[in-house]
Amino acid sequence: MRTSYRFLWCVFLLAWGVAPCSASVGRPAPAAGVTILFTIPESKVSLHEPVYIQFSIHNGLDEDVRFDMGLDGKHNLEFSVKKPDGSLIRIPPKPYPSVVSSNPAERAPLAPGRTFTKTMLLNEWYQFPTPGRYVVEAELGGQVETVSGTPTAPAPAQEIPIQVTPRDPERLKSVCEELRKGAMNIKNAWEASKAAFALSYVDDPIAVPFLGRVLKESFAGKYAAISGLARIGNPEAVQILTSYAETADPEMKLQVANALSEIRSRANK
Amino acid sequence: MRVIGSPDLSLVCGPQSYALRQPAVREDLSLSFDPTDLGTYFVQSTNQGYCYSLNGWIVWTSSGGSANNPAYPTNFTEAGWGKQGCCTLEFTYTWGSSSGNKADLAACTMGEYVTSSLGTGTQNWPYPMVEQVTYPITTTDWAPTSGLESDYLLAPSSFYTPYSAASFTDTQIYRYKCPGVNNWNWVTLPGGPYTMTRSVSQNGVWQYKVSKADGSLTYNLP
Repeated sequence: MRTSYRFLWCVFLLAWGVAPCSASVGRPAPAAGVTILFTIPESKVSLHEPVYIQFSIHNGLDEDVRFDMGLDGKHNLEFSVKKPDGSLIRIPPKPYPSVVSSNPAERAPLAPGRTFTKTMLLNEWYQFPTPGRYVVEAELGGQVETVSGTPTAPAPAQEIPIQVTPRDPERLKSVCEELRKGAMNIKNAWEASKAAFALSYVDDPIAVPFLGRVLKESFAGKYAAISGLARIGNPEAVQILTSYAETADPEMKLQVANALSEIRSRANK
Repeated sequence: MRVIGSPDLSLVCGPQSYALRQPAVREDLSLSFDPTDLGTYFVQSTNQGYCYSLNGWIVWTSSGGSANNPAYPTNFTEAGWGKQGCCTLEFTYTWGSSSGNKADLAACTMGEYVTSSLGTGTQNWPYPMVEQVTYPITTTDWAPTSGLESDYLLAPSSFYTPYSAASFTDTQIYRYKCPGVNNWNWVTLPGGPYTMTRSVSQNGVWQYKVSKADGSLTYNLP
């Protein structure tokens, strides 16, 4: 289990984000053509643990290629999930907010021999709400083409199995603690915000005190913590948010008010 | 000297032990750490050589020139604007680091903050624009070390018919916070605030228009 955590953390630290890199990272088999690969680094998780998915595209051609992950770097990823009961659900694309920002490097042409890799939190799309064996179907929407306009052969959807074991409170606490520590990373605010973001998607009451500490102490993860508390929305989460309702920070006050409003609105439905 | 340490860090300066909850910076402290006083601390002394002992697990320290010259984004500039598809305005921004090395910006957070003439909380854009947005919009996920970010202003998801004239404005700033700068609070980047106007109007045909700074686009509604 410890090895598993370490692996998870290494994946988080080293692979989250954008990495145009050599073919050895992401490990798509070098091929004459464009190779798209989706992998789930930790294919066995306990209920409510973060699930990461890694996307990589390798350019085995002798010409730059263009691909489009969407304005936010993820909109054009398409997922379907085969649930443990055998039913298949198609995950609709996440709607764009009114303002979106992303690193232009993610939309830059990929040079011959290069691999682009990006690891994302799959829970953003699907929460894996019950234990069991799931199969995630993943594909990149849109056309991949060379810069001269020649389309490459479309990559079929890839099926990736993932086993969700029953809820394990101790393991979940340990995962939350690792993410909380990550959210306190004062040397790298971007990594800290990503850790806080992952913690915010742990849809379990166990995450609440960890989110509370991130809200109180993190420099880069406060807003993610507010979102996470709003998402869980149990009495403990409401209590933490309420304790910030009269904060002297006007911006945080608004964010907390919106979070509490979101919880109330959900409860009234 | 700046020191960032574990919750049990204590800084011994002369006869007293000094500690401070982040992110304030003070020089005249007389607060000792309490075992229950958990957190990350930002301790700063401008009296170099005066504090002679540190107890605790130090996460990060800096001293000398770097303490006096912490890195922060500089030369924040709009590199250009363009259109994405029919209806999205794209702006690209670049910046450098005050230290000359963008890698030194890793401890900084960058992002944007958007308020609206529509108010705060969840707001529907005015008819006929179909969109619901919760204001203010806060993003903090820019990668400061990249020195490059694109920002997109999207159109409403759809438009109700029959069309009618409507307009509203959002106000946007870009900002950063870095350790050692402005007590680790937000600093607004130059150039803004930007007014972003979205409107529907009739000019022979019904049009959707979005504008910001020197960029704008107009789209004829079907």
